[in-house]
Amino acid sequence: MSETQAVEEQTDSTDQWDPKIVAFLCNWCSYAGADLAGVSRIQYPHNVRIIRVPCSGRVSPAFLLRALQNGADGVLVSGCHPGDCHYISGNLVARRKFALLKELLNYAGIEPERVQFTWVSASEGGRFATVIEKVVEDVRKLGPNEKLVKTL
Amino acid sequence: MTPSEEIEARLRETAEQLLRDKKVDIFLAHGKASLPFRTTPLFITSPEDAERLVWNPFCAMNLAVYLPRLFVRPANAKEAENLEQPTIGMVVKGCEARSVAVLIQEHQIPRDKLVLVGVACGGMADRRKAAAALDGRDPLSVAEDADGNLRVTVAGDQEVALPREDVLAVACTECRRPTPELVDVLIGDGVEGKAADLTRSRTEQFGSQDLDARWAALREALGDCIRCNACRQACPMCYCRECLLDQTTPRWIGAGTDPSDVVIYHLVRAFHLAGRCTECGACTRACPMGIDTRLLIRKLNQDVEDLYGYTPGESTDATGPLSAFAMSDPEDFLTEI
Amino acid sequence: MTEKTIARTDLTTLLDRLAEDAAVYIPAQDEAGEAALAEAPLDGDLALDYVNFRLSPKAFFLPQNQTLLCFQDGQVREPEQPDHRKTVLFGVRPCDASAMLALDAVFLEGDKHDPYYASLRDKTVVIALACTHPGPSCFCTSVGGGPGDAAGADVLAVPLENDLLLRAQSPKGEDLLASVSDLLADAAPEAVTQADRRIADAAEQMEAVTTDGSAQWLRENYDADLWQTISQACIECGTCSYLCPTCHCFDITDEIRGGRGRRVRTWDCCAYPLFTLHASGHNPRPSSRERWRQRIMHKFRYAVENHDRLFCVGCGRCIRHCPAGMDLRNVFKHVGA
Repeated sequence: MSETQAVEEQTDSTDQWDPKIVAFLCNWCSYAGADLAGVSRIQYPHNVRIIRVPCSGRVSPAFLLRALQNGADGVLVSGCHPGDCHYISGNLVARRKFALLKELLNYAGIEPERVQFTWVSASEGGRFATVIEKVVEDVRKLGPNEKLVKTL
Repeated sequence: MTPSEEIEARLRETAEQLLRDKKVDIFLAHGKASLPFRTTPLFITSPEDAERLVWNPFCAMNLAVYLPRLFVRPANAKEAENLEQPTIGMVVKGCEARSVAVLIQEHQIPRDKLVLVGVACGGMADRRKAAAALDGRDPLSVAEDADGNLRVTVAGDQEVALPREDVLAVACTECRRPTPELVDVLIGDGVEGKAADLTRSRTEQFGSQDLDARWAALREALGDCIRCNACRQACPMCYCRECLLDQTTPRWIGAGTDPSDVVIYHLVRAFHLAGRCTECGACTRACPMGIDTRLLIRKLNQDVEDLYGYTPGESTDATGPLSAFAMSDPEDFLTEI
Repeated sequence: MTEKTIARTDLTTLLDRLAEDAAVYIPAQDEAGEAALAEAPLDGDLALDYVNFRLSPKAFFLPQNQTLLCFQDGQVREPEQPDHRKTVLFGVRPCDASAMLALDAVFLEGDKHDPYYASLRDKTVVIALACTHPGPSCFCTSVGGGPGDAAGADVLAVPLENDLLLRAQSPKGEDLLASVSDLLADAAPEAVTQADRRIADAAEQMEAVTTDGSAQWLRENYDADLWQTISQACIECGTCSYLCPTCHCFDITDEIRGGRGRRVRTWDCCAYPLFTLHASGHNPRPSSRERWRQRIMHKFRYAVENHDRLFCVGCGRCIRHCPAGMDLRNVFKHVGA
């Protein structure tokens, strides 16, 4: 049976594993959107650990790979909608990087749903919650990250 | 004279003239090495030494890797104003000329201090393919005949004929542009490149396996990696003084052969070459373990071409694909909510 | 010392017997078709006509990646040993065997005792295989060795017409031969003569390069211009050090996650620019000139001064695999000049 099937079976029986998602959110849009979700008491899954960055353009592929290596089951990067970047073009530079990275990881055999990218604006608190729900569910279906994780 | 010998003679003349006229301070070329199927780079400074220069199917090294260290890097703009840079002449194949173009584009070397003597390349021999073709017998000497094929002498004074196409380096079998474009003078005729889809079909073949099979194939391909960094050091595009992957504060990956570290090393290196790799194959050639180091890089270069219409080494003043952007860039990779 | 013979056809039986309570590594082919020491199945005849393995056997004593200790929540513990079995290496070439004495000098001699190295060395029995057909890059006779000079090995095997001569060279070797004595015959004088002749023939096939007086010459020529020119081609890829059977420089790093971690020893290379970089930013070996000079000094001068032996055994891997076609024998053209 495939790797993912074996893990699903394990999860069903033990129900102990909970996905760990690391989210890189840009300060001006996505992080503010997450704040708005919180302030509005919109519930979203606890599985996400948020790292605030000034701009989605600051996020290097090395960050995502390091997170996965350290045991994150999934990674999310979220920034401002194109045209709305606080630094004008940071998210446009990021968009190219992420397009290539997503293709590369898929090509390398890493499940594409483990690494996800979105645009969430400061006013989109509800949308932020929906994004987190989706990412957590996608990763839950995949099981724990075993491919890139480094066992110490 | 074989075609290579003709080119060699003209190269020697050109190098000698450039050095005699003091148009260049150093002429960078290939010279005879102590073992067959190899050459060693020459840094010629006097016209008399130009006769040590060779041109043959073993001039495989990408000489552009030496350029950043031959020029002085100014510490700041003030220093840059009064800097005395040498003028470097060099022989360039198609791939090398593109590497030089990328280095110029990235402001690592000055165009006006280079004299590029181009030779259209018929493809370079891979010593490992030759070893396989010789059934493990060590070559004692090798020569090229008039058709560009190889005659190898092995132990027992036996001669073995090796057709060139059987021992071409993989990168050369897929080379789309063997005729160098960024040159000051071109020696010999142009050579037609291979079809564009040769590299692509290999990428497609790998990509056509299912997800877990791709992961298993990648792990196997990189399984022999000893983290010697030869692939990085041989690459002209890897000129960072301190590689991200060697950094200790912070430490991105471990220094050993832990499988996770090995995969991430190659993933990150490939990513840093997206839209910059000129497909010369120097990395694969340098790898002591015979790993297909271009496995991931090919895919990234192809995506850069497909998504952003950019091919590295074609222009010295284009903006690099990851420094440029457009509002209309595709974004179908985004998560749909 | 005990001298026995065994028919070539009985060799796999002997190795099978040893495999009952040891991990036995034999000459095999890796995926690229190059010779490698592997724990391969013992079926069929062993091909003994390889020149040498791609990787040196030093990884059996000094692994590329070795966990020295682990720590968690303030507690330190020894790492789990991956494999407690005794190890038998069959087919190690004499050059690689004598390299083990160089490593012993570094890790075991005097007031040093590296327990990690010692435990791996103690549990390993080395059966060397004398050479009858050296390769073009072999030069053991130039550095005080020879095709039958396997000083670091426990048993020396010499291939004869139909047999192998087995000569015990240490107590471990004597024990090994005793444990399979029913498979062995006493060596007849003709066998010994044949063995000596084959080894002498092999020695004749190599061109010797003078290294006599190299330590003195290197002492006197530390600042020679030679170092600038001879090091220019080096791309600092690390291939030479990683493949060299005597190179042993290592790095120790901690890999930490939260309250847990491990201390790891990995191979390092003096050719890397970061090798001697100080925390202050100063680098006493700032360019490839200083680094390449150091490599030669370490092997041919400091080793002689400190350990009374050369740290080069003439295996030729560095020459064979250098992507820039460098050949350290070129240094010796200047010695005595």
